[in-house]
Amino acid sequence: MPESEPAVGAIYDIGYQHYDGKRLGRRGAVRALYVQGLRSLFGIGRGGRAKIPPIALIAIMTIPALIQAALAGLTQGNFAVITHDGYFGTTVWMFGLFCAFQTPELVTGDQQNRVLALYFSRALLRSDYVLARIGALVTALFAVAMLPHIIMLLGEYFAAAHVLDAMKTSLPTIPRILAAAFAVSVLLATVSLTIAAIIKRRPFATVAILAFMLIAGAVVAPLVMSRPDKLRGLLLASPTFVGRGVSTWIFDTVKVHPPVDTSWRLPPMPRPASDADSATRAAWRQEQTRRWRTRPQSPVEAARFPGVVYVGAMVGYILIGAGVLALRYRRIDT
Amino acid sequence: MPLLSTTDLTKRYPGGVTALDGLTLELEPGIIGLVGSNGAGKSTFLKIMLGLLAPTSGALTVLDIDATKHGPELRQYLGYIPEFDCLPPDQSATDLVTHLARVSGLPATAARERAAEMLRHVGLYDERYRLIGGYSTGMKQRVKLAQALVHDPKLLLLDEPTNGLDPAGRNDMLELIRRTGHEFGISVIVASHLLSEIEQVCTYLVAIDGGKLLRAASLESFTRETEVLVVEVIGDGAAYLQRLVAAGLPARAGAGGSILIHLGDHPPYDVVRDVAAEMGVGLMRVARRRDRLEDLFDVTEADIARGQHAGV
Repeated sequence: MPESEPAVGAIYDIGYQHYDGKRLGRRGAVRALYVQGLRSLFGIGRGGRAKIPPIALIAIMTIPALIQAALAGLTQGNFAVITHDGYFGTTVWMFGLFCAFQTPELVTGDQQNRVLALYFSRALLRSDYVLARIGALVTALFAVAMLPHIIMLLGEYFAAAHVLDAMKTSLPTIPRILAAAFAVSVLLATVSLTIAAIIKRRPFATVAILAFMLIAGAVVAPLVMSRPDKLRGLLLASPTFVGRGVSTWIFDTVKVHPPVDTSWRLPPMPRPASDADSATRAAWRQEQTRRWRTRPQSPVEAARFPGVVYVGAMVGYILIGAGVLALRYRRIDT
Repeated sequence: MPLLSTTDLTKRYPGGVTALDGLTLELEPGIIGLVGSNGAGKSTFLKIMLGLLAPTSGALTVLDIDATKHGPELRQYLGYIPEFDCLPPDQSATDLVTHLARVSGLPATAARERAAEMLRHVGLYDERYRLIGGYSTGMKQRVKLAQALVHDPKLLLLDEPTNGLDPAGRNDMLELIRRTGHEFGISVIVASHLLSEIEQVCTYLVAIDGGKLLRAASLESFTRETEVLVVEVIGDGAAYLQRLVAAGLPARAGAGGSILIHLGDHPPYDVVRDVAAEMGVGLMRVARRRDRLEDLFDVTEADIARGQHAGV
């Protein structure tokens, strides 16, 4: 116990106590790294400035859900700006930003400041460290992904005339929300952590994650939309679109989505000759309008991959990421 | 139970660098100095002891645990200070040491208590709530020592713990090492290229060079080995040296016409005086002097050549 103001020269004289208490071993180590990682992802235990990006991104991501919940209350659930199945597609950019800004926090500092030497000289394996960090990131992304859905569900319940009926109606959706949120979290966590671990410096890691998550998506999207028949494979080069595909597939099984039209496959219709009769011209116009109205709304709709392709691509991303991470951390010399 | 024992321990890095070359050694608990020049293989040896680096061949047990097979189990009982700066600047010493105590497997409450205790033990008081980024090198070294002790290890591995410290900081650090070894009953292995520093705290010395064991012996025998008598004479120094060698003394020529006589078990004073009287040369100076580390290696290499090196 602290003594009164120690005299100069006698400052070390407190006596050493051996520790005979409990030791939690590797499990304790993983838990400590997991909890610390989770806290730092939300800026807890850091200065005020570290809390701004995560809170701002979560707030922006939640705004559509808040609007939807309010609308549900006003219209008794008869009007929807956004639905559970489309939520990830709409907020995917914010997810990308969250990964880009927060993931490097988890691993770049440990490498750059060489704290890894202090971790790895303790009773844990290098893979324990990687698992604890991935676990923290998956948990954070899962929480961020679930929050808007919870708000929307609560909005639905409060708006409904019979809360229990509303709960019953939403029951089949809930496991799908959980499954989609979890799949997307694991996918994006692995990809962004792998990038952050390879690139040592934090700002560069942020830029690289942004590039891979968002810019790749932005480049790929118009290409796939313009020629889905030839270029749809490009969609798999963007982890965010793979995530959207998986999420769409998970929700599509309950037919939340209207069936997607495939008219883009039809051959282009030549404009009728100017001397054609009015019925032919009207039919041509009608068909053009129908095609325009039912055009694919997103690259995922345009590509029309079966769900298994997205799931396969997701598993591929996760396995490659895990492999690269394992190699990377085996190689780090501490 | 020996603290550590190695058999024919060899580490070759890809690319052909041999960091350790057939090291066979057995150490008893205590404060052990691991001396060698830069690149002698000290850091590599420490990393293999921690189970962080796999040896190319050979065996190593530390605290009766096979370091190559049971790394995590062994590391519960080890504390380690790397030679480089390894502290995050954006955390306070309290937060960091508490966190590292938990990574060592201590429950939350115990981690907080031990962290506070260890930081006090190394001499950090109010400063420990400040961010490490603002610490001096000496304070950082203390934090590194605190984190290495926080889980109450049985063996402490220190890699160049006095690097970058001013003389006062160096003395504080050495005193902390001495106390850790003598009063807390924790064995310490200190790697350093400065023999003059670690000989102040060590009870046993291991000298390696180029990955090979030069010598492992208690500090006293090292001291005996490395002490020389410097003799300067007026008169025919070369003839005098020849006579001394003929009389069976381990004498050699030193710098500036001086004569260096290795001080072994048999003090050469009588012979030095008698031969000088016989030849009529004047003794200008007769003084005991400690060899520098480089000289130590000369002596021990000569020993090896004569097949006398202590294989312990």
